[in-house]
Amino acid sequence: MAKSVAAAPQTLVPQKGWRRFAFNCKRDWMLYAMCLIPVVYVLIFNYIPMYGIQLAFRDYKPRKGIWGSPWIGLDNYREFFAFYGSKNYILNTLAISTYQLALFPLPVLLALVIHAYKGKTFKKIVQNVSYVPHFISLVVLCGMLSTVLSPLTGLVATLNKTFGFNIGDLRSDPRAYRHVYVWSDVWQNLGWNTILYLSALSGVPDEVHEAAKVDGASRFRRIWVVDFPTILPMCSLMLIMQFGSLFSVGYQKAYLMMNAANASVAGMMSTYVYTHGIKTGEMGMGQAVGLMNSVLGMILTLIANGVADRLSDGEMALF
Amino acid sequence: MAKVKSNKIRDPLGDRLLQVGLGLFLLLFFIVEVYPLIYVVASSFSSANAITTNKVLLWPVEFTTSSYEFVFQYKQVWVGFRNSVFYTAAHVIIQISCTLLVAYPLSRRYFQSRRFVTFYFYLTTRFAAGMIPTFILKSQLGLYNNVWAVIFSGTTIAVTHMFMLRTAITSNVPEELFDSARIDGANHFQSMTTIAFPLVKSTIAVLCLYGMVESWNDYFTGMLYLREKELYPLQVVLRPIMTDASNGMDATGMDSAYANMANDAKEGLRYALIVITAIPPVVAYFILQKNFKGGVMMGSVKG
Repeated sequence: MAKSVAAAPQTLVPQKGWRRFAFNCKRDWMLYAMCLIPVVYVLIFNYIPMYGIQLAFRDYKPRKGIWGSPWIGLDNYREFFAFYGSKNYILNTLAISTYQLALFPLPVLLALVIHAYKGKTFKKIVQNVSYVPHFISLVVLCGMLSTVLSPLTGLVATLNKTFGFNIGDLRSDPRAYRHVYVWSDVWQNLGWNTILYLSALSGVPDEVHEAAKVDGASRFRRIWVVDFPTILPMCSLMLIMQFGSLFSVGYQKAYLMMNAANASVAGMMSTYVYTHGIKTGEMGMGQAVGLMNSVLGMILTLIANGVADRLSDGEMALF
Repeated sequence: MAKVKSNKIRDPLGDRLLQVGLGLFLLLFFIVEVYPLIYVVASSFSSANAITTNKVLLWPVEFTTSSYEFVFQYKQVWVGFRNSVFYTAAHVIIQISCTLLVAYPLSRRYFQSRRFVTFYFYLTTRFAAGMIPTFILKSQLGLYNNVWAVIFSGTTIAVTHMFMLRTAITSNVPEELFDSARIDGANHFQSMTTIAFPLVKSTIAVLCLYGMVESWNDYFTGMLYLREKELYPLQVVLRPIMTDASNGMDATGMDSAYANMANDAKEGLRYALIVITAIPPVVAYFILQKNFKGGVMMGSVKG
């Protein structure tokens, strides 16, 4: 065993071509063996289904299979855009993600505050408690929303009674949908999203702060000239990444929060894939919309990556 | 020197005011984060009457455990709980084994196919077949309405985890350790298990936590692939119950035991279910928490 893996003297290693590959395979066969199962798994569950992408251009009939279904070109897209309200699916997707993009500074701000605050114990408690919502499932979060926001029995009802507010049913009000969606997400993930920034902030050497202090910089000033520039590259990177995912709104939450009253604002392209493609069985249509969504998303990601690449001289490119 | 009361330099007034301001900001944030949690827990221990008449604010009113007793009698929930434990365990075991098996070869610089394997896995994070083609393929393979459909889910192979662990190994385990192990006659498998893994334990723990939380909280796979109620994971059992109050239009999978329940009891039951379902991932987080800071950082340095 030992012999087969021991590195041979350099002179005996074939330097190029198949002989080098064969030599390496023989030496590292264990490494190849380790990768084998995951590689096969990904082949079956990620690569092979890709042949089904063509469904977007076919009229899928389950009995005839993917290859047997008639080829209809762009008819699925024509049908989708002819349908009243198809534009809403695109607009709703963009509205939610733009809203989330606009709230991008929140975790940065919170991370700066947490980092600058001195009380260690209180800080730790706040951080740990703010991580808890991150671990709550979407089903439970939506359950919380539907109970807490109930104008009859929930917290909203209590507020209305105690303070004389007049808040209606936010769960089914189409105007409130986006706010509820985005701010519940903020509640769930704001604390968690600070982790990355905080770990970058903790990398600042104490000497830099000391030097700024000696120069007479107040703590506030040091936030601005020491802390903020430290996480600025990470901020721009995260912002660009979020821009790249404008089209990938979490359909799971959108679907959970959807009901008869708010369906007009809750329908996204990604929920369409499920509600029309799988639930009502129009798989060709669903795939057509899904493909459009992922192609648009991919274009944005490529743009975002290009920008990240330019801004950082290749240091920060995502791939 | 004796006259100096304290040699500690006091911060300037502005800095102290800033601390007060930051403290208030954090306090506000803390209240916003913690209050919904307190409200839910308090409600779960309150009587149905107190909930429906809006008396619960901060602590349980008319303390009772009847909501939890309801849950204990609710068979479908326990079937779901059992299934979820099983699915989560299977998912974590398969996911972490695959992550470990790929991360180690990718961390070896002399592994000739390293770039190809990296690209092979990376590509799946950029181009996905999508929900419908995957659904069709899995149905054709017989992965529909059975346990395997949930276990072999889209998230079973976690490519980002592989890359995190690879980076953790390359940046935390000195190459000399591997060299010395090799000289001592260790093969790749031995140096993986005895050299690499012990040194990146905290990253592995964090990845296990991610996998566990992800699997426990997943409802979509179950909703998509399962028809048999006996196989439902907890989240799928809960979905109709949780969205019932606002929704009502989608009664798929609604349990008759729940549908026949009095409305008052439903409210309390919902709160108790929220608490019970949220406990396992939160507890797992607090158990693995000490690994956290090191673990996340280890894998996040770009390499």
